[in-house]
Amino acid sequence: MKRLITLLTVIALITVLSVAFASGKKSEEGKVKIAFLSHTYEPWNNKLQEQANAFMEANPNVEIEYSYVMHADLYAKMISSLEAGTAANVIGVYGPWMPKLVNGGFVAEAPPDVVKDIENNYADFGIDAVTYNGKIYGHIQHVGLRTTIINPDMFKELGEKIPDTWSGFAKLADKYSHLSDRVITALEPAGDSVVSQWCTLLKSFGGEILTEDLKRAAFNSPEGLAATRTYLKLSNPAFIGTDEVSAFILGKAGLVMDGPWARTFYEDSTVLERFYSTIPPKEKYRQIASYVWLWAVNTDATDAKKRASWDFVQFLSNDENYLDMAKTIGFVPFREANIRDMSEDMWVKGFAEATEYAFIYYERIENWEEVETVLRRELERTIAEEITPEEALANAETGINKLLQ
Amino acid sequence: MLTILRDRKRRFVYTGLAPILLLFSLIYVYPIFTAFFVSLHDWELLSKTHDFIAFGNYLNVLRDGVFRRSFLNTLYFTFVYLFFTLILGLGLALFLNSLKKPFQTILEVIIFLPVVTITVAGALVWKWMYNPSFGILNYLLGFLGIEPFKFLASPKIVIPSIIVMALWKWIGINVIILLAGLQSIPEEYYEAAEIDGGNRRSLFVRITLPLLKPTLEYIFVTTILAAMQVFAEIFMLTYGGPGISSRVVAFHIYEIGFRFLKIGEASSVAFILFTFILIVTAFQFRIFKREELY
Repeated sequence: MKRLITLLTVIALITVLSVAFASGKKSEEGKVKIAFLSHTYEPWNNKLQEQANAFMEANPNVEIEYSYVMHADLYAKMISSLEAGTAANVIGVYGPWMPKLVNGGFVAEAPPDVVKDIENNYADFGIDAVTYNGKIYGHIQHVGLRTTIINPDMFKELGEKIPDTWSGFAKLADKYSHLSDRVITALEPAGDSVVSQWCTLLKSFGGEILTEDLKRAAFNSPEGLAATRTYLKLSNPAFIGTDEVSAFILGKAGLVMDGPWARTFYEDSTVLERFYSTIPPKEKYRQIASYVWLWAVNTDATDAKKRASWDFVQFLSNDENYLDMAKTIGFVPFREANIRDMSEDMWVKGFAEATEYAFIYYERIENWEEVETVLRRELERTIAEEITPEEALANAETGINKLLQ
Repeated sequence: MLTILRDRKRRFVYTGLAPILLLFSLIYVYPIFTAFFVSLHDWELLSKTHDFIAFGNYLNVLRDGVFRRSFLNTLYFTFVYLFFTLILGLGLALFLNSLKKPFQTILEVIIFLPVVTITVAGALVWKWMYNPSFGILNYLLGFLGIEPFKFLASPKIVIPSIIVMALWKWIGINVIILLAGLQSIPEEYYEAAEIDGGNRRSLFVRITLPLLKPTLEYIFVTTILAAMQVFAEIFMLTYGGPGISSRVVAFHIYEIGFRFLKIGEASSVAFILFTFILIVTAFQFRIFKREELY
């Protein structure tokens, strides 16, 4: 009797599971399911979900499953899922990650219609940013140029004119270093953006990160040293992570460098009365370090999925959606038509103007992440007054040359 | 007849245990062997070739100054954290034990709350509290006329600052365990000792400590195990910085494995840490066992 009951239970379970599985399959029949991955940033995630819903409404045969992970976890999540063959079909990728993905054959080359759209409608800098080994591999979602954001009231209160050179800002920072309730400038002292912000100064002083053949470090130069010394005066070791942005929002800093995506942080400030984004100050040259965030399509999928993925990416990047994203989140428009549309927007305007001086600060080498980390570590150490700028540049040079060999 | 029965019993036990042993091997044993196998190769994630390099990764790691600093930071964190866990944990447990209910229960809950708080959320709050310009800690120190500290930005005090946060987060669990240990000591022992003229100090040294020894040993071993693998607090508060001032071995593994994709080298670091922890733990067990003999 017991055996019979067990047998019947097992049969019932199997039947229920098979029916559930079959009905699930039936409902999905004919639908192309796309997994879509990015990092978390609530206003952006909401907008992307909204756009994905609009795409599904227009394309009932496509189902998009959007997921996002913490910013710091995205790379690890993407790499491990690519390695395991479970990666999303459309992935948000930072430019420096691309050489590895392109060389390993993990991301697909854009189809001719997407290439045509990018070539016809994007600014040259944008086209260059998504081109690897002479081929286009994705659509730019946004450009990560960190230009200067100014709180004019702080300078007004101090009776100072806003300088137009980095050295000018450094002099003011020195002059008011005794103030305990505010800082003139707050460049990042530690974290993800130290190297890119420092690169803006390096190039502005006339220095280079690597030699032209990408085989050796080139920053340990008089220009590199001048840029580093100036950077030390412009950054405050107390502001770890994004604390410098918090300080600015609280009216405690006169200048920060930040990206266009941070629009809502600034606009939500209840303390700041006035602020604006502007082209960065100049030293020898006016330069601004940038990176790109792009939508790439995973190669490990059926042709139908890949096609639907490109259609979705194309949809996210069309005039209307791009403009919507630029207006609400603050991204710099990269479609030429959108640049004109946004010329009156005070936040985007500064960034759009700054793109004229933008350069991609990372080199397209597979181990850029490592190179940048070595540089970042040494810069952080000198900002924290653990070592001198000379030692920092020499240490970073040795470490990076070893990596480049 | 007896032998047949014993064999049947044994077969039954093994058959019953087989599924769970298989699962255990799959989840615990297989990854250990795989990690060791990977550590012997020049293995990069997303790369299609994995050359066998024997102990090449181990030699590279041991020669790497950043790893050595990470290892020393880990030891520093572990021993300071362990010291304060034992002292503070015991102090708080003794204090709670001296209280009457419901005060004891209320304080127990308060001390235990951080343990059930998500580390990431806790770390973000601490990051704000540590902020030199608008953090509450420097604000309070300002009342005493003390200059603001760069808690997370100064290479000299960054690890102690992280230890304070880690103590806040994890001390509750040790306090509860120690409190349970204290409450299991029979009252009669204290009464008898008091009749014999024992004072509070001698009661603590001659009764409480010896009878609490197994609990303290447990905390000693588990705290070292946990502290040697500290990661989330570092990741959230400082990302190993400034520079490499607060970099620990677990963070080093994460960075070279998942940012630089050198999973072979990361596995060798993991194995070095695993071996070290194994030796330390075995050594502790041996000492504790020897001491229990008398």
